[in-house]
Amino acid sequence: MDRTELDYLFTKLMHGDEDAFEKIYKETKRGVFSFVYSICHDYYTAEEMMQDTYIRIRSAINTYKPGGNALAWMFTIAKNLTLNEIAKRKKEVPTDLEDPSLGPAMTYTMPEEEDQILVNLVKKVLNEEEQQIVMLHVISGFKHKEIAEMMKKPLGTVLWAYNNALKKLKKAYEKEIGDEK
Amino acid sequence: MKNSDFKKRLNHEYEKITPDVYSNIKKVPINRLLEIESPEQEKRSKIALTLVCIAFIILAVLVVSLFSYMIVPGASAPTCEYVYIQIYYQKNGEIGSVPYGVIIQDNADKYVVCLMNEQEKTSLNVENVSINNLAEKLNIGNGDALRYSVIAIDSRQADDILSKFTYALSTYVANKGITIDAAQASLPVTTSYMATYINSLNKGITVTDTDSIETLMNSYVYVASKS
Repeated sequence: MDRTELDYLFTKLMHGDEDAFEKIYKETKRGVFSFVYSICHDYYTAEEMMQDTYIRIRSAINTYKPGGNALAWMFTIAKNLTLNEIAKRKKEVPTDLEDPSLGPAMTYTMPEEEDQILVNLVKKVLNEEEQQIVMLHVISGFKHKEIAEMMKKPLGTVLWAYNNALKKLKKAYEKEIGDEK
Repeated sequence: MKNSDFKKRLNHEYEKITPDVYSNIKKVPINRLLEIESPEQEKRSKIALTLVCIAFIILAVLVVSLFSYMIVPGASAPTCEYVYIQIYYQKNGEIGSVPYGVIIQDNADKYVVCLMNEQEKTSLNVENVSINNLAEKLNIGNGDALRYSVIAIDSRQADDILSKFTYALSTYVANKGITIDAAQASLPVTTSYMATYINSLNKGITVTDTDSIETLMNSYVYVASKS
């Protein structure tokens, strides 16, 4: 979906069009999820943050400026929510339920799927910044220039990191496939 | 593997693991949540809130201190920073008709004297003249007689100022052979005398008979400071 169409849908949502919201959700859910997942590295937290992002978009839609970059606005919300959640969790005092003496803490893991070689490799071989750049470009379709603006980094750095990340991923993927064979 | 195939594969994998939360989102009422803040904004908000709290605490301490000060007996008693001393002097056997308004800032040691302009009689000159030099400034000379009176908030303060003033003048008058008309060194602080003094002060000052002495002094000093 191109940017103009997305902006149009956001504008419609501002006027209470719930169908527009559903379209926005369908078109962007993969990008939003992969992006927040690249920040928090936890499947269920990413799911929660994805949900919160869309709830926030609905509740704060009146603050969206028509004609702007809807996708960037959306991803900024997603990023801020996720970072806030991470910071909040870091500050949380462990309760008795998390007392190591009571046994292993409850941990969330991504559901086991057979076709998740690349998803696992992304997490394994790329650092957080590289993950975000790859997700924003490959999954969400952001241009490198837009990613540079969002991440407040020079375009050259983003391009270099992206190419480097792809090389690392391909190499790891080919190795993984080779090992499987 | 081509880049495009690689990207397709990546998209495909993420598509498969992306959860569907649409039904959950739809259950949440709209406008339930407040505006989101970025971590930086949140940090700034916290700092601002802390500063506001500190300011509030300081303000509260100040208010409490002020209140405590006000309820201490005697602490709120009126203080007299300024008194008006009205001076007449007898020169060549004739008593001058011009009352020389003198405002004295009373902090026991320092005196800022504001003299009414002798010629124009309508404006004031602010001069830092010590009491010791006041008689000289007024060109009071040998054989002249000096009489003066004091207005202050209360008679106790007037007494105090009068004694200081007399003491300060004593050295000068002794050297110059000036006579102090002790009979005139009265302390007319009662309301009945106010009109007289206000009339004397009215030159160059807009005051009314109902003004308090404090207002009068402030007006006098204000005009003096502007001239």
